[in-house]
Amino acid sequence: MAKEKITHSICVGGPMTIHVKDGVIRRIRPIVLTDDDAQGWVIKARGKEYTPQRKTTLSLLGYCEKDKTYAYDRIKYPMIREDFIETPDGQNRNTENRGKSGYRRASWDEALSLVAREIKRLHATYGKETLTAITSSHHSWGLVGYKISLFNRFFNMMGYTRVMDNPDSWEGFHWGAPHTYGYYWRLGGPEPFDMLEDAMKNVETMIMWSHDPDTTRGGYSAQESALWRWWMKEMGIQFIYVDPFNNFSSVKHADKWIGPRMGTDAAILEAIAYVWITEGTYDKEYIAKHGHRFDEWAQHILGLGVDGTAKTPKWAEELSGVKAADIKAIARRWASTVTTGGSGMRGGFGGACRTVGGTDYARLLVSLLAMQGMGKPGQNMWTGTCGGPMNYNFWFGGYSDPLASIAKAPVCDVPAANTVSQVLYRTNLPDAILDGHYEWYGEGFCGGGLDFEFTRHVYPAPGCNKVHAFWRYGGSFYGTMLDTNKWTKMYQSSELEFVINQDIYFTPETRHADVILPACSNLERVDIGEVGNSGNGGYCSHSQTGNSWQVIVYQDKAIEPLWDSRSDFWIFSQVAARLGWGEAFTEGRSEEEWAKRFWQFSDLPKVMSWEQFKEKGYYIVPVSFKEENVDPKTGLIENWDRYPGFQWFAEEKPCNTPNHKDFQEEGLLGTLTGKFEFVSESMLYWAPDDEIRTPIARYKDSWEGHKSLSADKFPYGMISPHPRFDYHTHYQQHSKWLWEIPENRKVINGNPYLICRINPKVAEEKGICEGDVVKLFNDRGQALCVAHITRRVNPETIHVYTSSGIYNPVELGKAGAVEKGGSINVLTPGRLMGDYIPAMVPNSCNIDVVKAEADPNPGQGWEYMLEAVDKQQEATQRPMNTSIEADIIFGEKEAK
Amino acid sequence: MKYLVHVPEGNLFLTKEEISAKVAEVLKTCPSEFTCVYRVWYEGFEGCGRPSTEVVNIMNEAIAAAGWTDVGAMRWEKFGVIKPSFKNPDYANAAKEANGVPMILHRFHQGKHYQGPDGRIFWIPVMEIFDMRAFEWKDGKYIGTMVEIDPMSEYAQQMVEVQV
Amino acid sequence: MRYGIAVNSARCMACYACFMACKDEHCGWGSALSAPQPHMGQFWMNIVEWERGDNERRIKTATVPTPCSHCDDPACMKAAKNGAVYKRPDGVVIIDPEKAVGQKEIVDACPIHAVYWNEELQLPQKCTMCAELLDDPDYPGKEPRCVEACPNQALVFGDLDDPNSEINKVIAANKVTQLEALGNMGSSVVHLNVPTAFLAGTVFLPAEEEEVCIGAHVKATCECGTVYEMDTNWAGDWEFEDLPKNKKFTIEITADGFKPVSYEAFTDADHYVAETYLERV
Repeated sequence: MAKEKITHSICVGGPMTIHVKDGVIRRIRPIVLTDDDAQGWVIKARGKEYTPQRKTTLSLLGYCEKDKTYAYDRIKYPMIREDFIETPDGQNRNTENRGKSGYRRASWDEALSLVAREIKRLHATYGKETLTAITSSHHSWGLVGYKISLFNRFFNMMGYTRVMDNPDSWEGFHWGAPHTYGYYWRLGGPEPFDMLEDAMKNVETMIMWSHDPDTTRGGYSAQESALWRWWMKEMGIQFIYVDPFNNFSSVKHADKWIGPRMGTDAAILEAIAYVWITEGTYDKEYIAKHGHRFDEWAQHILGLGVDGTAKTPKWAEELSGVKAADIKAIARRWASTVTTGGSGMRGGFGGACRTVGGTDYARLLVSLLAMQGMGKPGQNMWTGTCGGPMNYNFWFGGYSDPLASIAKAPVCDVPAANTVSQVLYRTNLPDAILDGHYEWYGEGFCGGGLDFEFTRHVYPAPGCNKVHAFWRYGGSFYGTMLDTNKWTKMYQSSELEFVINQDIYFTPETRHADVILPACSNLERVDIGEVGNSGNGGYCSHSQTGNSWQVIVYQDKAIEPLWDSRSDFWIFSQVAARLGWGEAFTEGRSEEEWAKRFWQFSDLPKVMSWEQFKEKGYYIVPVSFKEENVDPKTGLIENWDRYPGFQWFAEEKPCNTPNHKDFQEEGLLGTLTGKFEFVSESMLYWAPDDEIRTPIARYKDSWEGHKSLSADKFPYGMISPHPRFDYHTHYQQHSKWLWEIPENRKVINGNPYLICRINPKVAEEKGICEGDVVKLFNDRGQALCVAHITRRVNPETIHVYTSSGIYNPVELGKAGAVEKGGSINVLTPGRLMGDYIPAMVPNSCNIDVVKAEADPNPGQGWEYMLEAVDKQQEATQRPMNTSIEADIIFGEKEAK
Repeated sequence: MKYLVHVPEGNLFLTKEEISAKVAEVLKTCPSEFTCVYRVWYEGFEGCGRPSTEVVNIMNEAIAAAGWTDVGAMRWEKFGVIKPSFKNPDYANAAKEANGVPMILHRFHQGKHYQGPDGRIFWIPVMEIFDMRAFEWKDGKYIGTMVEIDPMSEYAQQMVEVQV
Repeated sequence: MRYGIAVNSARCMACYACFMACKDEHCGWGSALSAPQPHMGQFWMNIVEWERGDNERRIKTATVPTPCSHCDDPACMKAAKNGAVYKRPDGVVIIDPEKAVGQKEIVDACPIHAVYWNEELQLPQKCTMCAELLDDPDYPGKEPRCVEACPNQALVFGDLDDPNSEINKVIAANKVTQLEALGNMGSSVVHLNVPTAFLAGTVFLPAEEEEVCIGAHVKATCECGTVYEMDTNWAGDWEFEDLPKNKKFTIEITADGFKPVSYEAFTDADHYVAETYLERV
């Protein structure tokens, strides 16, 4: 067999070795380290030595990347909606048919020229603010192509109404936790540094609240930490899992699983505090020094506060369904052993914080960890992902690093600054368009300060016109946002005169566009990146500590872009050229030259030349470069510069961990007082009348929960955590191999129905058998799923994963149509968490379930649209209307 | 005339002199370059709830009386925009380490430009206890690759902040 | 030199990386030893999963990656005609993609259903242990795709004939659990730690006290005579794992100051025996 060409790349499932045979991708493998790659680290704990395998991991999704690249639903050619009419005034364009209209094939020239003409018309008629645009998270990987880099450069240079992202995956922590312990610059999450070693040496009990690490995989750390948790399990560490679903990690690892009713976690936390306070089993000295207004909160817990209700385990049992005896047992285990824990991946995530009570749940969890002396050895906020040994002093940019974006200096010469001040907010983009106005608080991602949570925004901004055009880039919000039937209504509104969709795949939102621009995947273009690195100074810094290896990859082009697709960089450059600022946009650099800039502005040049890096394809950073840190017996690295998270605080020393603030050097937290606030001064300061997020964090009955009025109609709590068999909508529609996993989907009549999980009691009541089609429904929508009957959910809870990349309404283009693709987000509330808290709360969702029939119509319903385009004759052969400028920019240029 | 000052131990009723004395005491050991009334109130007094307008005025006067210069409005990540904000006259001599651990962000300003003893000017956007990452600034542009500066080195100690 | 794979169900999380790596290797791509697998419908690395337990308080799952076992005396080889199935000296069992055309009996012969029928090619197909890759000096990997993909060391590959190999160490350190359907058949794929049955429960103090009982003594006596004992843990829970199947057990729970309690249980399946509320004497 002739040697195959080997390239490398990164996806959200991990780093890939890509074998290419005769110009076709043959296989996807992990990176298996060679002898000349760095040695690994060794953690010595409890008499044994632990070191990772000499290979990286890929999640199941990574192994789908080849299948996904050649998928049936790739957009092959530029397309224009069949009944789109380029009317001079933007009206009467048959917008009501978006979502059901078919498409015709167009040439790049026609599509790009249309886009340029429309942008000029829109700018001239309404101003730059009339165009809005948004991406999804991580539909691609690489510092050149990432949304904060490429997308930002293009749209900032153009000027547009930016859409602020909401911290969708961790709302309660983002809007809540900073009011207890600061860390707003980490978006509410804790410091993970060196926590794996700390836990392996010291921990006796792990609290995994609202956490399924084997499923959420630290975000984009593939399966790197799976082995870590087995090491810990085999040491005899007790794992306590709290989740309405006995999830894929808990069902294997839990020594104790409790399944509270959706949204009642805060009550259990208050009850645990009750046990500690009444039994005196918390770190009183630590709290005396580092707790603010603890006594007032303790009074409230004991029932001596305004509500006169003691937060006893019995009280919590009535609300949560978890036995008081179990709550007490957990409380005592937690207090009497060396315990580390937290919520969700990275410690500050988890589905529980996406409920109405999410902020106060987060605040209470942090409070309880504080009560046991957070920062002491083995007592920290960490949940088994992130926190692996890392060489903090080897700098390579992550996607949210200000230093690692082509929109910012020094990577670019002239940074792009958006001249439009008007902004929109992602969760309610449809409402803003449909109603013509929207108002909200906060900056979306409020890493810049506590006050950023309370900034005021109105749309339209004073002096600005409304948005009349939408450029959507990569992914599908039908499966991730809230009350998503609204997106259909938005797309069909005549308010949106022009809709562009730039994507690799013919995804649910793509099917609502006027012009579709086919982008290629990152296996078909050049880029550069580090596995799992979201930034060293950007948000949630140092997420690459979720890996066993620090891996920087030259993301070479494995194959040429398939069919007529092009890289996003090419597409944006073409539009920019047609708008007259192509040269400014590209600064004369090819994609490879841009990629080289990131190599240049990192520590890589010290260890590898650009040519060496391209040749090898990747670099493994040793956790220490010093010879004296190597164990001579094994050759493994046993010492490195450690900066354990939060230990500086417990030891009352200036903060020494990466990415810290000046007040932390004074021994203070990022709260107003610098202490753990048991009564939140920042809430009193900015929003004392916030009904959901009160100065003392408390359990409250949700406006949608088991006690709300809608529960009389819809008695089950639907929890929709992050999916095991997908990542942010980016795989399910494309790789049908995923449909063959029984716990994921069941194909009936050509449609892949998503599995939902219901308790045997409910199944019996409703006459539902294993594998039956069922309808989940409430006032907002209806979704067909396939039932899996399991005791891993209690009778009040129905579990079904969110982030479906598949949205197949049985009637195309109809808002509220029965959805058979698994985008159960059509059922979730459109209402945000609170008046002051612009957070989505999909896990506060009341539904009912009934046995149903599969859709008699075959297939997914929209395949015919692509098939029709395939059958069309070649688009009219007009020569590409590129300017000479564009030709110079896009000649084949090798980076020197 | 006594003023209500809430602290966790309970409600204190303090005279203007007592409040001023407490402010002075808090400021004496403050290692920060800047402060504002809310910083003194929350971090220094461990104040509960917002101070009243009268107490704010008294505290602002006391901060000024301790020699701190009014620098107008400043945006604090923790407190929002506060005016007046004050600059520490004794910042150069204030503590820059505690318990043997240096305070890097107190020794240098993150994101500013510094000129080294050899005349080169650097923009330093990243500051950690173990390194500073810098880009050399020359003729209006950033040149070269990312430079690493040891914050405890001789070179770093001799760097001077400059405007470019 | 015999190639073998040790499958350790105790470490498997059913992450499906092995399942996908196998599909990535074989769907749509043939090799020297196999025809291409169709895009969907075959699971050469099948993950057999079942839920264990009859009470929400204690649920586990068994997840058993089940490729072809590469049996010592393969049933598929017996059912094949014209040498369509052969066992190599290194132990790998291969279905010849040309000779086996039309022989549907080969599919039906496999006791663990590891052979699949390719309707389009009219061909039985199964796992090759990626022997075609192991044979190829230009292929940079050293393991079958599934083993390379496993993040938990739940799949281990190596030479069964080398007493010092990693695979033999792993087999020696774990409980060998033959797949029931294979009876006494030896095979190159060795299954470890496939669970049998558990009995579990929780002991509480009298209900009105709302407390678990820590340190209650639990004794489970099998009809075959074996006695299992433990004290309830910090959560009041007790559990005996990997019990012999289809046996009667007598469970006796004792705690100082409380009346003893006993139960009968039968390990036809995994059972949560009881929430036991003790009565004070």
